[in-house]
Amino acid sequence: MAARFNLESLPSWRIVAIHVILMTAAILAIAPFVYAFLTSIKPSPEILGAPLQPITPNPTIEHYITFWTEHPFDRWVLNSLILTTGAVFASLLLDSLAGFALAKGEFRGRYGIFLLVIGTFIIPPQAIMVPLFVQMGWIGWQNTYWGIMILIISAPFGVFLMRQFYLSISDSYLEAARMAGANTFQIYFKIILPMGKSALAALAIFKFIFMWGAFLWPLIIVDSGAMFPIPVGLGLFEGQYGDTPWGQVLAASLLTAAPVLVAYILAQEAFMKGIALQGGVKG
Amino acid sequence: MTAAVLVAAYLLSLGEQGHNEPILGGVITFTAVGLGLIWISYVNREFTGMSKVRILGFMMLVMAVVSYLWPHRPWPTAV
Repeated sequence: MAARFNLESLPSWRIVAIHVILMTAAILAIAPFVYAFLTSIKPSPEILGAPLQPITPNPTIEHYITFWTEHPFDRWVLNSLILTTGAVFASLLLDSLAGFALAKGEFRGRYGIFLLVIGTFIIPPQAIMVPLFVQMGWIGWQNTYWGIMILIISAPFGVFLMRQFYLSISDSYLEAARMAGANTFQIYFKIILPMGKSALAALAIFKFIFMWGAFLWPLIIVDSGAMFPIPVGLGLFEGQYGDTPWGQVLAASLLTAAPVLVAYILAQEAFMKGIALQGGVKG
Repeated sequence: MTAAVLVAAYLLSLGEQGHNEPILGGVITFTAVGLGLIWISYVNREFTGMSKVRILGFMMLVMAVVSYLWPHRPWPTAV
């Protein structure tokens, strides 16, 4: 095992340098959000009239109220929640099942199927959007929630992540369960699934971010304002006026970004564990 | 078998809703996820954190009801 990095053993000037670099990076990361928030509470004339004045003397929430009442923002939020919930749950179920089969299953062609799965990594999603759009038309899924979700659910990344995680779990767990009389589905639900909690949390966060921020595919597959997820609503909102109301755009953008931030904070620990791909005892 | 296919086809056709209609696609999604989570929480009772999974499952069922009873309001003219 590699020696643990000990900050206190470093010379003081290096500790100061590390802190300066990290604090600069943190400020650079947070500054756009702070600027967006401060601008979203400025009255409209001050947004372009005094862009360099960061804090307004007359804060207001008019942009939040105007955007909410003049656009079906609540419906777009619900649409995004439906899409994200469905896509995350279906992805976790299907990706963990496929990952389990590819990691621990014994069947002919297992490696070939895995190669096919990771081979799809090299195909950018934009390249398959037109044929997928045509397929969705064949099965009547254009302008439906299912048609939007399918691209995120079918992404190969989750299968790859779960397979790699399950490879790190010792076969002795599975053998012990078999000797106790468990069948394959019982092993999956009672042993494999709970042991993969950290990887599942990481995958859930990834899928949440992908689905919540998806723009191009929903824009193509959906043509009704009632079915828009938030990013599509926001994107078209910017484009439909000659004079873009930046206060409303920033207010809506902040409201859109908030759930992702909350989800990440809630699952941060499990997310980091999942990224590190720590499994059970090596066999 | 045919009946199951017809039921599945009918459920999948409910994935599109217009202005201020009950959001049946959301009802199906949230109900499926909620029941799935509650089932997993009972199957794996011996593991930690399953009470949170169960609560999340019931929240999903509440969201299914919310989707069905989504508040109607004058649809904005901008969209």
